[in-house]
Amino acid sequence: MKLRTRIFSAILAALTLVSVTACGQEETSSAASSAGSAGSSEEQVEITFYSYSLLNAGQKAGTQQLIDEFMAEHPNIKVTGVAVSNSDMAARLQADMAAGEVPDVAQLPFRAMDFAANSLGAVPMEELAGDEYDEQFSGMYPNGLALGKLGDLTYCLPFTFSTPMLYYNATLFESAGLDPNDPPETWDEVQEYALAIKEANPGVEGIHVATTGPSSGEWIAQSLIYSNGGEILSEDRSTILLDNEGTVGAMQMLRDLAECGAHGTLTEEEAQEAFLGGNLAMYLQSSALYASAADAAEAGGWELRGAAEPAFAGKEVVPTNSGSALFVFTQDEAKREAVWEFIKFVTGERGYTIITSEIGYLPLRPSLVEEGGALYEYAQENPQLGVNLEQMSRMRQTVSFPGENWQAMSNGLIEMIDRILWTEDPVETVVSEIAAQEQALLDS
Amino acid sequence: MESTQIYSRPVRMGGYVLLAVLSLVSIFPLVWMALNAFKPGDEILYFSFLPEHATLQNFKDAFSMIPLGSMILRSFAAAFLQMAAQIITSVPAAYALARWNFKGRKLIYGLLTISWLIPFQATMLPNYVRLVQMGLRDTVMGIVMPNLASAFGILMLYQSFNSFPRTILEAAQIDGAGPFSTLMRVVLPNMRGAVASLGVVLFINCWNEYFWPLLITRTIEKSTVQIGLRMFLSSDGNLWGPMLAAALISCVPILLLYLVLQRQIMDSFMKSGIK
Amino acid sequence: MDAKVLRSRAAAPSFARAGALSRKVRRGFTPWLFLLPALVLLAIWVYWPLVRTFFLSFYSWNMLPTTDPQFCGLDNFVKLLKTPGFTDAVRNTLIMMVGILPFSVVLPMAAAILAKTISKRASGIFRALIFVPMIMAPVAVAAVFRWILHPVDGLLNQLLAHLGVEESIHFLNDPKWALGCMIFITGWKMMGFFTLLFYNAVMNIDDSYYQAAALDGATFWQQTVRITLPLLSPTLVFNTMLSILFASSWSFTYVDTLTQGGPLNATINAYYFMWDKGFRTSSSGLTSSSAVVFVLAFGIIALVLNHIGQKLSYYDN
Repeated sequence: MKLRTRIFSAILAALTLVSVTACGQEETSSAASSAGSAGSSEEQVEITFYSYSLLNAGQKAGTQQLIDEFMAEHPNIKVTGVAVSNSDMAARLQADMAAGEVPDVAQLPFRAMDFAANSLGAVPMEELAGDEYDEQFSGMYPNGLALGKLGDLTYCLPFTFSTPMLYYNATLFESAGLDPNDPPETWDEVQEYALAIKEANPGVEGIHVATTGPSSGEWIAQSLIYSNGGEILSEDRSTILLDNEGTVGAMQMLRDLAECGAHGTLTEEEAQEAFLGGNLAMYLQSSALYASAADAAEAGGWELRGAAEPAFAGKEVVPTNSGSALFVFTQDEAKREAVWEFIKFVTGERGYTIITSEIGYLPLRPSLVEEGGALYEYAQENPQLGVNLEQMSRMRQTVSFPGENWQAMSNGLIEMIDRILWTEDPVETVVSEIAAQEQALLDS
Repeated sequence: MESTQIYSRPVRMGGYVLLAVLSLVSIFPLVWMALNAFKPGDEILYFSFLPEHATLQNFKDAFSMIPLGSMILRSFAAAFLQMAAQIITSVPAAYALARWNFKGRKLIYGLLTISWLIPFQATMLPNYVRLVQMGLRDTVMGIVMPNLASAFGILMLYQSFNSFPRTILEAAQIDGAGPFSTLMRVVLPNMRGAVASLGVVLFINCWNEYFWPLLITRTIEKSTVQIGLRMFLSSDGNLWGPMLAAALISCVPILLLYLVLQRQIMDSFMKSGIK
Repeated sequence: MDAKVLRSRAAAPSFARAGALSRKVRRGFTPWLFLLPALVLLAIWVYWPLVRTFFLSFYSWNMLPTTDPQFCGLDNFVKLLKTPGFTDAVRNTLIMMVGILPFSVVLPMAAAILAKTISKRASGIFRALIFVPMIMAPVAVAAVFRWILHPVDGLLNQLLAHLGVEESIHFLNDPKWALGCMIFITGWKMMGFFTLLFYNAVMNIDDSYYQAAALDGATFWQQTVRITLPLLSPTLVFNTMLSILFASSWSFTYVDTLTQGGPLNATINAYYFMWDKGFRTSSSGLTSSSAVVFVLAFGIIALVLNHIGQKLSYYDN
């Protein structure tokens, strides 16, 4: 008993000690990390790469392959991959910056661009690349490169990058007597098809547009607005232009789909499961879902097809982009050089080859999918790639909202869609209320 | 020693029915999860009950796609350390609150009540900065450090210490031993059930923690099992099979702990019964 | 003053009385020695950051070390009240507090009392089974419930279809159902924990009371009402307080993975609100002001419950 008492008090004392020393150590070690800068490229340089693909079981291997191949080519550069969560990325970055740890290069969603550039101090590519800028990026889709521009400067480069795609279940099409080779091209046709399929298959849902939750983001909503001639943010980025005919028309279309039952009442995740399970006929979602959908279709014995985003009658579709881009934050000269090498590799031919074939996103270099390109065969086997790349020419940048409330403003668009789909509030009222709310967030 | 009372048939029947119904409702999702973990690929999406072609593929995938083994080990180490530290700090604190009516006791009680309500977000950033400066990022200690003491644990134990049977307390008084050995020799042995129950719960709390380990770890190899489970879920398609397989495996350590400690809990009742 | 001290001692009568002799001698020092490790740790990791949060709630800051916090008075609190979803969060939190009680108090207490009447072996197995939800990873729980509740071909809707319900119910996307589902899942998950606590308390009741009552010919029901329930009252009060205060934080993972607070804020609660509007959007002002407001609100609820609890609790001495 005595012994036990003694052990017990020893542990108590130890714990107290630990907590006290924990307190005192505070000021010491932060200086050490910033040492060891300046030096020529032969010297060993270590850079940190924040990536949410590393935190994705399906993309981890491909992302690690990118890092490993790069390090094999550049033995003097060590890339440390830091796995971070996508949905809490901004908070993580701020926590690390508060701790004095700035990531050298980071994979962030496009919608964080304004925040990264203006609040976190991202380094423009022009500054990083110097003379090599034109040479490095000449082989890329000019529209793809433009996605990373804010004003005249390129703050990020598309990394894992995707476009909207209308997935459809060809087997369900056939069951309703529809020709799967002739997918709907306009929203009117989508409605018609959805209702026909629902009629022929009780219990099956017609269409789901993936804009209904934070997990999918608001980028497809932006595309719908642009495609109907609407606008979101003024060019000087100070006025919300949402309250216009184009937006109202686009939202009215969604309301019509919901009212006639063509668009089901599913949450985003439920819709995805329903589609993969063969219970949803059409699904407008990111092209990045293709691999999962193809597997599910094969297992479920139905045929998966993909088509371009549907248009508003008589208007041209304006696709927007989703996915992520690479941002550079390091202020250290030697690290900048190393980061630039890394970016050259990742956005070069080999990089996009891995990104496309191993991670499932789109190659931003057209030459890769042409005859003789590294992805030529892959593109032949995966016809959906052509559908997506064809949209590149009409691509428009997803708005990254400015100011402190950028995330709340992104969520505002989702709230708008939710109210359109799940309530009976008049469409004009919803749009103007959301527009006012967004303007208030922008001004505050 | 045991309750010798025989309860009437309707009462016992009522007991069996209620407990059986609650057990069924409780166990069903786990059964469902286990069955699905053995379903191949996307059979999971097709809402059948039993797997048509049972397979171990999901388990193989779970282990090959994420470092599940080391994640479980780290989770276990963190949860065990944290639980042990919380018990060690909670027992004397709860004892002090229950035993002495000292000046400031009410204040301490109030402070503790407030601190168990504090949302993690409110303390996260400064704690993170401090731990990074201490060089504890990416370590088990970093996960455990901010939670070495638990207001929840103290108040739970205080609660049990308060409803401690009086007869035993009086027996302890006669002993005349100092407060520390009273705690160790009389109170703790009799409170083993309460301490063990609390231990299970504190262990599970830490085991299920997601956001703090996510913040404090940098590499997948040094992450915990809850982070591993979420790695299978993303907006680009969820990998249900491996996720459920990994989740099933991750239940095993807690289940074992519960079974071991349940024996402790039962033993303690028998002992106090004898006394 | 004296009366107050006496009342506060009502929560701790057995120990306090037992320690009456040594109390005077060791008054002051010993209790603090026992409390020291816990208090030091809490001060470092909880109270100090909390004080900081409290001050930050009066400043406007984007949490970056490159910028300085600007004093802004009560602006953050005004902004908080205007943030969409705040009133929904408050309302839903209150509903959850009450909705969780059947799972945290009524059923576990009935289960614990009745568990004593059946064979030891069966009771052990049943209690282990009821504890099972506790050992499941929250994200796996969310996944399983998503399938059970799925509107197109989820198990529950299939079952309802067999029972003649024609329209499938969109449990997670219908404001009428979604919050109820969150309450059920949270309650289901925590039921085993509360059963464990109640069972411990039931087993701690001195058996001689029942033996005496049985000799008097008291029925099970009379024994329950006259002996078990009064002696369970401290546990009852404590568990009620625990579940009321924690309902919204326990439901966090399910809200986060199943509904993200939707549809139309139908499932947003205090804890999720703080996370989603404050932390996730990296607004120091909203994070800290909502933390301050909710800690204060929950603190007041805790004190009130504590006060009521001390009056209702009946101790065995």
